[in-house]
Amino acid sequence: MKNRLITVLALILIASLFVACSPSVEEPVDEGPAVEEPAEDETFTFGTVVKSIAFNWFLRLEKGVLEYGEASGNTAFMEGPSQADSAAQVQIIESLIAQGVDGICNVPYGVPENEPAQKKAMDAGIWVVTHEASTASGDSLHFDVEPFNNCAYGEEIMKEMASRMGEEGQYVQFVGSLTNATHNEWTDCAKAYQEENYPNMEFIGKFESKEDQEVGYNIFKDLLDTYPNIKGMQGSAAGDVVAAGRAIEEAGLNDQIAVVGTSIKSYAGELLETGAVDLAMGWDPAQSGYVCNVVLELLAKGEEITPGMDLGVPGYENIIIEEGVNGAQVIYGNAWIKFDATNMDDYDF
Amino acid sequence: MKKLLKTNEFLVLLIIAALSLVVGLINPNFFTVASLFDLVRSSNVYIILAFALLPVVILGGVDISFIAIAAVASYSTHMFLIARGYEGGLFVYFVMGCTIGALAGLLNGLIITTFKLKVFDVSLATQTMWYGFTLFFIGATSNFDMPEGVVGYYSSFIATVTDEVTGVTGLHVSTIYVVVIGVFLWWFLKYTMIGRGIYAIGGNPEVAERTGFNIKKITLIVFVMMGLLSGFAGIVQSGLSRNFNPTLFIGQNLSVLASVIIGGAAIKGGRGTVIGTVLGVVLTQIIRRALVLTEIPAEWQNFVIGLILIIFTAIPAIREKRLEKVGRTTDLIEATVEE
Repeated sequence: MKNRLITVLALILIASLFVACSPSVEEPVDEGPAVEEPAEDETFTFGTVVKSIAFNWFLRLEKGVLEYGEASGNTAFMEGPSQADSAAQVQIIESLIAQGVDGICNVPYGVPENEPAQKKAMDAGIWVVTHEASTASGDSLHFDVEPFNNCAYGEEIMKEMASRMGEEGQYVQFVGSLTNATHNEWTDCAKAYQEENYPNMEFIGKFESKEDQEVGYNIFKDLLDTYPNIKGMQGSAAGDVVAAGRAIEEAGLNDQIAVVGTSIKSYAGELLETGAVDLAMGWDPAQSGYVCNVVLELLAKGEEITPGMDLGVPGYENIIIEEGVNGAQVIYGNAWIKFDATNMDDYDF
Repeated sequence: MKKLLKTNEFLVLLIIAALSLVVGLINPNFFTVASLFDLVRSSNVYIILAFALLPVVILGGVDISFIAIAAVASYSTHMFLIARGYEGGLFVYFVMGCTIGALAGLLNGLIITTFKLKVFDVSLATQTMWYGFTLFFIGATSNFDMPEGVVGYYSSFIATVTDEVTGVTGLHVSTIYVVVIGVFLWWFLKYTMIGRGIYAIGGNPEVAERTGFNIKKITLIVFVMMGLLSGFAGIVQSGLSRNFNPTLFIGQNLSVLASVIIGGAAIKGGRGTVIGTVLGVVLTQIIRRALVLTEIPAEWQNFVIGLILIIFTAIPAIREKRLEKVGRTTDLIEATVEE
């Protein structure tokens, strides 16, 4: 019986290895010949690498990369493993190094796992800019680009919610998990901003949706029972405002409670239309892909990137540069987007 | 009557009553019809999942893959139908989802009976496999496109109450499924030869085999039922949430198992009832909701839930210890009296 168990486990292991490896088979396709012969203007080749091409999120990011390519005349393309996997991602970076691209924009799946490959690229004279990697070590990249500072974003959510509440009444906050650093930064900064600026608003509590809409829905129903005068709700995980919105809509309270938080159209669209969710906020991955390549171009042209600079991309007109926890130079914009029923079709992702 | 008072079900019922009283005293809103409807709604899907798991536990096994089966059955059904422009109601979803679920359950059963493996070991593998299968072959993101016929399912109520402040609350139609499935399962476990066989095998497989029960056949039936009910629960939940999710229920298998155990099913097999299971789920749901209703901060919730679970799971064990002291005869009578 033991032997059989071991055989079965071994078979499963082999099968899983097979599945894990198969995506990389399709990967080493040489993407577009690098334009080497110098035209009258020098053109560059930038490769963008993402966690996985299987997510709508990164297909949207690719849109920005391709738009950049068209607008600038440089060669810009995106690659990524078909399954989010650092090892496969590193392989792609190595093949880009071998191709001799001028710059790599990397969106690492595992930040530390990607650092050695990024260093290798830098040693080969390639410019490296990352996204979603502000915790990376300073010597593994030239710059990291982020759409906004988390604290400023949290305050912006609070401003939107407060204005819809008439700056008074009780409100609750939801986070995907109490251990999610980003979500807690948004909510804590929002709360601090409220205490300073809206004395007539009252904080009830921070609740954990466990990234699960059904959990969020049930908590919000109980909150309605316990605090019948709730006026505002701030969501963090993309499903949080959906969960609260469902409870509010089913109870017929659309106009009485302001629901504002991070989400995307495919999640919140239906409820934005009915008004159960008042405003969704977030960032557009296409813009991130675009600006990442803009930074690469500036670096490749030998220009210096300084605080307050205008990168020529909406939301990045007055950039902030800060040092990340592990020494990375992080460029922050104010590139949050806000959408409700009137403009959500512009952000179809 | 005396026997009734001694049953595990009665004990759980007492705890539910005591807990409700405490919550209700702190927050009188708990005693409203609306609050009852909310409680029923949040319990329904988990009761169906617990029904799926109950026969497996009685059989003496612990399965953790039923949530993954629920996910693969509901998500692949949805993606298949939506790609073909289906605009009808949930009936077709139920037929297809239950079929996929039953087949996935059958696979568990076949591996277990053919290789004589432990239920837990096999389900550990199939859980990982089905979630992985869904993510890799079918899709990785929640899908919010609902066919015409499914829109509005989340608010199809049997009855509703309206409150000026908290708005409309309804008793969801899924309550009917719970009653129908519950009555069927009760009858199946108590009055059919296969049902009795499940208890017999859970009590002592060797004796059961010598008595003439076909262990392989009964095991397969139990797992087909588990898969079927899981698929059903997956579709109900997705309909309620207005989206189909490839990682539906992920991480919730142990809380379902805890409900079944609190309801009086023996983790070693041979014991467990439908009523007890329902009460077990209701109790865990009340504990969960009590934390918001009594204004206990969210940071405390998991700690408190864990603490309460320890206390409540210990109670049946303490009772069992006492039974052992009383002696064999009582134990035997107890075992035959309990269905």
